[in-house]
Amino acid sequence: MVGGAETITHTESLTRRVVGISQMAVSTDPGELLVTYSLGSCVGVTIYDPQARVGGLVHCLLPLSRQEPEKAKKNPAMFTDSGVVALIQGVLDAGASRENLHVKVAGGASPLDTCGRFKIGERNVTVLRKVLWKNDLMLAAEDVGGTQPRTLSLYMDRGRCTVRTAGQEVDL
Amino acid sequence: MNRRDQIVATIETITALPPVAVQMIPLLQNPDASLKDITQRLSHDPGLTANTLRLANCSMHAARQPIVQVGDAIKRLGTRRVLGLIIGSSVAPIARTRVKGYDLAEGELWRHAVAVAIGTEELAAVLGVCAPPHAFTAGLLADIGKVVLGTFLAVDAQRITTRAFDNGIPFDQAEREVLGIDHAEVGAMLMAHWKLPADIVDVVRWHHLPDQCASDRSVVGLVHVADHICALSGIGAGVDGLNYQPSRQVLEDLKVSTDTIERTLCGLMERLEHAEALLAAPAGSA
Repeated sequence: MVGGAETITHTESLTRRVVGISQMAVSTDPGELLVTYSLGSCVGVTIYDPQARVGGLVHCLLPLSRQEPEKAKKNPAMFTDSGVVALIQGVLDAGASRENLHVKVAGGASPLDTCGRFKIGERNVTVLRKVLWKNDLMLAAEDVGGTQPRTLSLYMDRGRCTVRTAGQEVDL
Repeated sequence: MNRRDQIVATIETITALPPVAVQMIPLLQNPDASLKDITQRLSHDPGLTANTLRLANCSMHAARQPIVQVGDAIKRLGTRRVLGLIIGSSVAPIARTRVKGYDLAEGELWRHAVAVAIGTEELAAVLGVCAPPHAFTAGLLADIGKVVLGTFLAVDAQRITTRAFDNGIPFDQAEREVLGIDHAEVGAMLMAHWKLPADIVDVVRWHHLPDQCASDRSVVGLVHVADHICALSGIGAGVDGLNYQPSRQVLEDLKVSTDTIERTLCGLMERLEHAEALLAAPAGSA
């Protein structure tokens, strides 16, 4: 496990691990469900290796760690560039293989902004794509943009990923 | 009676503030009230006394020596901050309830309220401007109208959301089109009904339409931008999410850049870790 304070709830057969804002979790436990709430302009990124059954989830607040280098050093998960690199490394360290990684993303919403200053969500997604490209990884699925907040879940048994928006949950 | 009139009529039936707040709010706005009067009244409420001492001794306001007398705590904080504390702790139990119509779980609206209040101060600090003491309280109360609409009136925001998304319009505009009133105006009417200061009522009223505020726009502008920054974080986000329109004029006036927004968001998250506990105590308890 990586990351800060988390809420762990046991539900029926699954253990729900909540990943907060600027937090990250890596798991090798097929009985776990990783979930992150409140994705506004933040991005939630899941990575899963179906063969090793190793995966993780990170909830990144801001695009670039150079904005606050000290904070990024203390908590890489706060920023998309450092957080996604930390997540890739985390799952590899836990036994995943680079060639098996499935990467999915949800979030990156923005207000109805006509002057572009609030486009943090779009920038988070752009930075994510660059980081993945540099690491020779592609997005398997995405649900980004718009104005609605999202909840992202990763089921560790088979890597099922879901996004909940305005009470509707769909597979990603 | 149309929907707007029904809503306005309901506001006047909503539970009054706790008796101590009803006594203290006019007293703290009266320039002739003495420190002795204020201290005496406040001392009758053990929960508020404890919260006042705690706030005066927290790192932001703390003196070298710990403050143990409530009179000293009031002197250190100033009457406007004490007023904010009383309003905050009186409104918290209402703001903490589940707001079913807006899909806000128990405690979520309050988390958003605390974030907007702290975000307002953080934004002012990043911009290098001075936020007057009522800015925090106004930020805390900005979305209280959602409780009135979503709980007391059981408005189903789904109709409003559908209208907003189908027509590509901000959520508050969709509220006005569907209900004849938006949550900002409802909140302001409730605050006026509770006889809160006019400068706070004005900020609540115009926090989504700051360009239309006829009085001093400096605080309403800060709260408007802070509310948008908090929406980015997703804290306490309901069905309305980020579906609002930032005012170009306010962003220009306050010189808000993307960098300002990111730095505020970063500072806000740090301050929230410490501040939620401070604001978590229910009214009347330590």
